Amino acid sequence: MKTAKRNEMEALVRASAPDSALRPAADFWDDFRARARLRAREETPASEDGGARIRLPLWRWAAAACVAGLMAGAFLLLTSPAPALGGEGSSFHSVDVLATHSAVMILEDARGDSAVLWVVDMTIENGGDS
Amino acid sequence: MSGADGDMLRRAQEGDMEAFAALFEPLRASVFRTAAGVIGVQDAEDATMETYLRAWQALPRFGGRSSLKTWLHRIAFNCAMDLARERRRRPWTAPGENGEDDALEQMPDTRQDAPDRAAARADDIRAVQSALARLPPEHRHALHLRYAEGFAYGEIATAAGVSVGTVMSRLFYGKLKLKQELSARSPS
Repeated sequence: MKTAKRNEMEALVRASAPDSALRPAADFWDDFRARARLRAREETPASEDGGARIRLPLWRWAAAACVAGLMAGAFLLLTSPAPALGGEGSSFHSVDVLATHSAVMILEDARGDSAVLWVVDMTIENGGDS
Repeated sequence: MSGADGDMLRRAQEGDMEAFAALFEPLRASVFRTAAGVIGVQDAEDATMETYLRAWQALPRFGGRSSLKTWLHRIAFNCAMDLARERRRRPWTAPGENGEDDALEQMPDTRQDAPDRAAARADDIRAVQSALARLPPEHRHALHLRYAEGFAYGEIATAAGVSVGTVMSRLFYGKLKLKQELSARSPS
């Protein structure tokens, strides 16, 4: 080679790429079919995208379930008729929240004899074991 | 991707091997050349088969974020590098060095018309193949995809799993080393 000009070199790189050893297509695909049957395939694309949305960590599911349970309880407390307690309304004396949280808020409705318990920023750690 | 290719892709994702073969056969020669460029001709066929088997397994999860071509070349690069690691003790050989068919046999025989020119061209190609063999596989891969397969920088980056900047760096240093190798061969 007299000079190594860039374009010449690029052309030579191109020319140096071999493919004459490529197997005939029929041979290759026969071999491929035989081998591919022995390999398990990955999940379908529908579950790839859709699954990403529903495949949440367990602790998130547990936290969501707790929140839903609290909301349902609050709803029942607010909408159920006030029990006859002889004028003596019930009230919270103590609340124990086992999950990690930042604050607890209690709203009591003395007239309706109901209450809303609001747990703020509750998260369940350790995979929802708590 | 055309509608027909889209339909073929969907069928291949659902497990239709004939659709898979129809979709990927046009890319086989390119994958083979790429594998040969990274690990040498003697292992390129194994790398090509492994690439296609992995593609078959992973295709259901192909989401279309890159083209099929770059997606397949990404797998091909990983397969070639895996094979290279497995067979590290065996040195990379340029096409023709082990007596395999090489690119020279693909060239039209023009020796009768211009024997000197054809012989010089053959020498040049051998020199480039030999110089490429001494480059790191990542540089060979980038040079091959760029100049033999015509990939854009972004496509090479996707195929190699690196940034465009890294691709540009690999091409720059790859060409520089190639130039040095070739200059050392011919001082004139």
